Amino acid sequence: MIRVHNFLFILFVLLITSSCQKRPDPVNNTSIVKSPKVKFEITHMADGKDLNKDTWYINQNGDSIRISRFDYFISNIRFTKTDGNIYTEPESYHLIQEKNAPSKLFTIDIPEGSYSSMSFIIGVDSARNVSGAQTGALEPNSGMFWDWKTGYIMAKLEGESPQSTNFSSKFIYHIGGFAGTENALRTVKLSFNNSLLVGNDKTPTIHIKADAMEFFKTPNKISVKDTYTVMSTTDAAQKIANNYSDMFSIDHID
Amino acid sequence: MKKQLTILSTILFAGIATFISCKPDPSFEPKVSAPIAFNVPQGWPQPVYNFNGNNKLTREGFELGRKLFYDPRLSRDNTVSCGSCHQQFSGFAQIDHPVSHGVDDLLGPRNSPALFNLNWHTSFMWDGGINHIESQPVAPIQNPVEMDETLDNVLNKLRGDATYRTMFKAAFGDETINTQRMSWAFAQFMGMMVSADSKYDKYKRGEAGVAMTTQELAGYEVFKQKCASCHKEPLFTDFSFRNNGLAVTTENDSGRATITLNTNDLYKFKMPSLRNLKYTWPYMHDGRFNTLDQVLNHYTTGIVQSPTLDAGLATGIPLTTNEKEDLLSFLNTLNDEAFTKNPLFAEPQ
Repeated sequence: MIRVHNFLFILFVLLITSSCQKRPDPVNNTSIVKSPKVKFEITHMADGKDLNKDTWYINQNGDSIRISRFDYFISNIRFTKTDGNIYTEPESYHLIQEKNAPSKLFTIDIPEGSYSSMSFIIGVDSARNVSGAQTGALEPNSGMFWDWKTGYIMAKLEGESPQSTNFSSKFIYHIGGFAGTENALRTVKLSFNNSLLVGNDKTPTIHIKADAMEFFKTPNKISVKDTYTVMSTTDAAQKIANNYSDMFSIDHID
Repeated sequence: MKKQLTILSTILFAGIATFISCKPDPSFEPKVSAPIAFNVPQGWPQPVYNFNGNNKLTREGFELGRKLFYDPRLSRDNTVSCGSCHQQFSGFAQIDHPVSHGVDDLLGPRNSPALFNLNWHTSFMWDGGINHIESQPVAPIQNPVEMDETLDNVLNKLRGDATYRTMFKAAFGDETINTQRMSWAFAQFMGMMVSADSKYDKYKRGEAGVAMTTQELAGYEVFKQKCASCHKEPLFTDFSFRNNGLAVTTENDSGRATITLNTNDLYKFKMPSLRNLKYTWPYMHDGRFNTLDQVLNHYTTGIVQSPTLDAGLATGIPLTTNEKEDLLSFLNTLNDEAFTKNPLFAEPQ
């Protein structure tokens, strides 16, 4: 009989705690707070000219190159104020893809102020490489994630070259690795010639150029004949990461 | 009496449930399933992964993970599910299959590993290439000789299924279906697969009526002297990577070196647990041994010398015939039949 009592008691509790009150509707009157912003417009280049998938380029080694894919992550965007204070964009992960024009145009919120320089990482910081499933720009369905050796491909350049000894004359550079001697993360720092002024009535656009041919040069001259496939954390990956660490430049700001 | 109570309870509950139900309010969603909890077995170390981070364990998330685990639509031709190569009756390995068997009857290079106690694992796969339980499921899904499907296709199949949309909403608050949520659900299901109810476990917990035989205890002593340094209790693995002296086959699987690119890691593989061996045969990273006798004979007389051979195996592991018998008797106490038959982990009906 004790069990019956217990059961009735539970029912009683259920009865008095359940209610038919309607859940409030989601609030849909969020006041629009205008935050100052900075726009980014990235243009992909090859040897100083606008990148064209049909154009043959010559790399520093003299190899003929045609580029079919040029993708990379930009993360941890930071702006340094003229007074030395630093603003870091929260959840700062941006996947830039040559074939996806909107990915090259993005806007971030930033506090009002006068800024002297900015920096970002090419790739995805190590923390997000060891923290399990991610989403947003870091969804692993972009072709920028190694499922067999957990981690993001920081930057990717693919194309063809008659100098490649790959069966289909392809070259494939997938640059990844986030720890120790395999670390392919590279930090880019770009200074503004004049202070960048950001305010509610002033949204500057930073026009950045990224030159894909930098994968092949300075400090390491890459020969496509010798290096046509990089798909792991090899020495070649480190060389190429060092090469492209200077592929970004500010063209102009308006 | 008991039966009467049950009937009485049912009638009462049905009556009360009707009375308290708020039919006119469509936003009322009764939670029908019992809550679920992850418990660290007594005497075990804290796991590497728990559900205290972004991925909160719920019954709804677990059930979604279970449905996904057994759904062949996650493969390219809708024929192979996770459960195809990870069968519950086989300790979530694939019995009698030396290597994994994927779409189009394609064979992989390695043995499907048994799945249990995964929240304690520091890495996944025989080569340890995967560093997080949430990052694991996308690998077999995309592997061309396993399920060979793209994540985009998988997500689109799920988004096109009203049941999944409902289940994702129940688990994560809205109908958004993405890789992260899918991976979280998988981690909830697979992380809950704790196998800690073998005779050995009951003995260690001092449960009433559980006694080891003289031979099992003798085998336990042999184990402690000759096996326990790598197959560390209570998980029966130290999760290290070692070359255990297997002859290199034509497959020439580099093992851990595939990931680290370090020649010092050549032919090293992740230490498997000794739990549930009765169900998980064949053994080794390529399933080359069908029986535990073959495994023990390998350690006594079959070790192949090589530069990366584990130092502890340089002269093999000497075992007398009696010691082998005792050891096998002890290993048999590590089989957790309740785990292999737990309806919680079975294919949903």
